[in-house]
Amino acid sequence: MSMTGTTSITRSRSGSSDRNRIGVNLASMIDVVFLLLIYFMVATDFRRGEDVFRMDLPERTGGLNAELYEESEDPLIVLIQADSGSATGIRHSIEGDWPEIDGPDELADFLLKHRVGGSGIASEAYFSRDHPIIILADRDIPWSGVVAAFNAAVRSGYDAVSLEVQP
Amino acid sequence: MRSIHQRGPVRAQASLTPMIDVVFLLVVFFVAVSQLVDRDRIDMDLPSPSPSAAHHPEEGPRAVVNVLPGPGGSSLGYQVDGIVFTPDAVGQTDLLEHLQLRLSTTPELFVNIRADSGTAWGWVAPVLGAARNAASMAGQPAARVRLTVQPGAQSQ
Repeated sequence: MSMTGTTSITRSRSGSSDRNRIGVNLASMIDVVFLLLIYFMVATDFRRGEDVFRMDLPERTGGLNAELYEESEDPLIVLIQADSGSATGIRHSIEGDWPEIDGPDELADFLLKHRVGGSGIASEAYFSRDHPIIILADRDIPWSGVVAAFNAAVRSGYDAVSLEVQP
Repeated sequence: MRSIHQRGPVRAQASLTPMIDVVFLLVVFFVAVSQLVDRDRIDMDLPSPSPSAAHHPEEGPRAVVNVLPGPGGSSLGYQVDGIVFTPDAVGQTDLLEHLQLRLSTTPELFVNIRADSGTAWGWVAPVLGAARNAASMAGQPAARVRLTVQPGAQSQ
């Protein structure tokens, strides 16, 4: 196989050996291959691996227009709303008779405190690990804010966390 | 000893074949990696919660849905498998059909969602809806969705 198309034929001048020596000149091919190698090494962007949150979205019975919350257990609903008055522009709250929450860290503390086997006292541990939690966010909330709330719930040890958009 | 002297001086030669093999393998590797990176991982600023409870994804077939960031927190579309779907009702229906087709051939498929930190939740939510409905239409009890984030400090 002639890779470079350059073939040199040299005839020996020595009188004792009268045979033809045929060789392939590989130097130019190696030059090109090394240039390609250097190009791809420089151009390739080795990024860090990405992490993921696993979220299983169960089928809604009754089609697309079914009610949002049809779990067998009443879900805990975390509301995320736009709030121009706060520093982050986001207000967190929990639907129902629960105290106010300020940010994802407080949300994580609250959820952990009230989880069975969590950090709180046993009499206030109302939710099991697989208790459904729905994060209901306004459409204008940045994705990072929604993910931060999701991360807080997962960090607190809950398994059944899902996202919904505020109608 | 005499026969050695009769052969003349020893000529050392380097065999270039293994080196060329290795270099070609490296070139092929970099070409393949470059194409993989360009196809699935659109350059965007992923959310980076800290401390993070996210984990490294397990191996398995996946469809990566990139929510292409637009101005002012909007989206320019959804890119999956090199195909761009418009962020309107028609595009969302096409996205649903595409995911359903992938799920019908690969039931254990994961749907990975990649969205920019600044993209509004209202532009990401239709992807979740499409994944959920595609799984339902493919006869699966639940959609296997994964939210992609930038690795951060791990929570204890």
